[in-house]
Amino acid sequence: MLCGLRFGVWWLALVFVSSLSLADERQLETRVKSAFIYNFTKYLSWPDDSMRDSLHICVARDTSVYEVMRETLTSKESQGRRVEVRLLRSGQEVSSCDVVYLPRNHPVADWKFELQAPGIVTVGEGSEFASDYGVFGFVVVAEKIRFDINLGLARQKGVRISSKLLSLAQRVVE
Amino acid sequence: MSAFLGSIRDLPIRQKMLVAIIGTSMLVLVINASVSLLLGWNSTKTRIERELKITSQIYAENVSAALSFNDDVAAHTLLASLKSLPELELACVFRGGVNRQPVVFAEYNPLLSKTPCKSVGALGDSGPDSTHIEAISPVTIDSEPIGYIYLRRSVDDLVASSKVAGATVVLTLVICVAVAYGLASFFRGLIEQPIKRLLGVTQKLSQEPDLATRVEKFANDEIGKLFDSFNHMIAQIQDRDSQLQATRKELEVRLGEIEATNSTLNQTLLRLKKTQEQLVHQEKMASLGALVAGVAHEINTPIGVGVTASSTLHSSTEEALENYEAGRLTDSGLRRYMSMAIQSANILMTNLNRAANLIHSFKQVAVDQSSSETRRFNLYEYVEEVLLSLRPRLKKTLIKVNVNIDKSIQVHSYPGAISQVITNLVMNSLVHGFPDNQPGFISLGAECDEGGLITLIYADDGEGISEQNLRKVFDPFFTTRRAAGGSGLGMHIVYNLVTQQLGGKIDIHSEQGRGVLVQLTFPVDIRQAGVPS
Repeated sequence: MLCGLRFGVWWLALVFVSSLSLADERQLETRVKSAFIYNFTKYLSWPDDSMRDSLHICVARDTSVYEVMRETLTSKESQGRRVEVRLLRSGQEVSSCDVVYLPRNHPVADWKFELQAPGIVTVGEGSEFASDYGVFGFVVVAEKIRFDINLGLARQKGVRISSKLLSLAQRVVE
Repeated sequence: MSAFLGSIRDLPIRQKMLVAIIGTSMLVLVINASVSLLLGWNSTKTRIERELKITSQIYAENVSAALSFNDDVAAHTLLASLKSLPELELACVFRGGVNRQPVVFAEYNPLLSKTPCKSVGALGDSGPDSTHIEAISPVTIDSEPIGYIYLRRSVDDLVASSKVAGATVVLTLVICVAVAYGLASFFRGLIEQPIKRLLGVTQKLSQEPDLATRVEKFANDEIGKLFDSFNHMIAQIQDRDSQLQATRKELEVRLGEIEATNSTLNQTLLRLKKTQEQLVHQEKMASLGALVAGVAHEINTPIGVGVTASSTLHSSTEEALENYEAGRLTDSGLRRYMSMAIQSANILMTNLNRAANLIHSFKQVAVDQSSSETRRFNLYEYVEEVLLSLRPRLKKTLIKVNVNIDKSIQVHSYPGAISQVITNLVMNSLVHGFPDNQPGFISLGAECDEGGLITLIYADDGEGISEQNLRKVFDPFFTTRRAAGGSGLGMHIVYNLVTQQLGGKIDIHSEQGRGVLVQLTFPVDIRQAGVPS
């Protein structure tokens, strides 16, 4: 009952994405992407040695995105693990994350080394991101948010991606 | 059911067999086919339902990501892969919870059905439908329901395969009936032909019984055994027939023998009757002889007295005449002669009268005995006359005869018969009742009742008759004195005279040593009794 209600709110938010003001639109986009990231985690499996009781989703530097995402995903669970949203300020903190989201306006070149660590799923913006050092890259197709997947990188990091998720990808990089 | 059995019962055997074989095989086939068709339909339907359910579960699993990422294109692509299942009519993916109005997320409608997903009710709304099979599975992500998938497939393929199966069953049925008919026709000959042959033989036997006929059997089955039994039965009948013939011949021979014996017996009987008649006649003659002897003896005395008296009268008269011619006849002498003459005449008259009376009586009895005429007479006087004729015999004995008969009884009957009966009874008493000159009494009594019957009782107090002899006393030729000249006919004649001539009956009572009592009953007037003479 509670789940149903929650999902109703969730999908209502997605449906009204295109009919709002720009700021609201930005915030809604972040919410949708937060939901995407949250849903990604349900189709991923991490290496056993990096498993924790809680799932850490980290947002690199961008406080506003962090706020929205934290608000959206607080008190959620994924594959039996409580979701915890964190704000990353330095590259050293990357190792405590399971998923790292790098918003579009944020440079990540200086964290490149840390982000290559195994077990860390990187989510970024654009098709190029997925080609270079990101596992997931958000793209917009026909005014809808879709994503590319860098499967080769995911394999290197020891992260397995469900075929169901792969079938939804716009592009899968080997 | 009973009407059906009744119509079957009168069918010829071959048709019965045909009906039995074809009916049984058809029944078995129909039952078998129905059961297998039903089971096949059910199992196929169950399998299809399970497969549809599994398919729905697989697609629910696969579509969960598309639903969670709101990727309707991917969902459509996924659902489009259902075209590999040609029977699938409709597939719908709904977004939303169980208790919320479902929203169509993706739809697969290859037939462009008029009942697309929008018209499909919420989860669990669809009822059972014979033309469709449906399956609904929830779409979950992380075991949280986010929607559900609905699959509907037609049962056309199932119906078609069932039709093929049904057609196969019908074809099999036709083939089996044909085969059964052929087999039945073949076996029919094996059973029908021997029975027909047996039937022919029995019909021939019943028309012209030739017991040498035998049935030739076909095989050693039950019908063969029936043939054996039939042949055995015929052989037994033949045996018995010949035995019967032999017995009949033997019987005929014996019958001839019996007839010969019979004719011999008849001749013997005739001779016997003739002899009996002769004996009876002799007896009668002997009785008459005895009567004549009695008469002679009885008349002898008065005649003798008469002769003496007449000779005395003669000599007295001569003496008186001599005296008269000599003149010596005195008055007293005449007087003496006269008285003597009177006395002699009296004696003569008395004795001659007596003789005349005797002769009259004897004559009467003799006439009666030798004739068979009826007449009217006084019973008492007649009995006295009969006893008078028996006096010469009785005189020699110490037996007293006492007659106690009502003197007024007048009888119209056969006096000869009565005289012979009494004579025989008295003679029997003398010979058997009082042998060795014993003293004794004989009594004769009679009375007449109102019915016109005379009861005459004859009794003596002599030796009596033993019980053993009493039963045979009326039998002809039964005598205890054959050596002494008894004919054994006396009592037999008595019996015949009483029962036949007098029209009466006779009873005899006696015990050894206690005398004899004979009771005769006969009608007082033989003419009114209607007894033929």
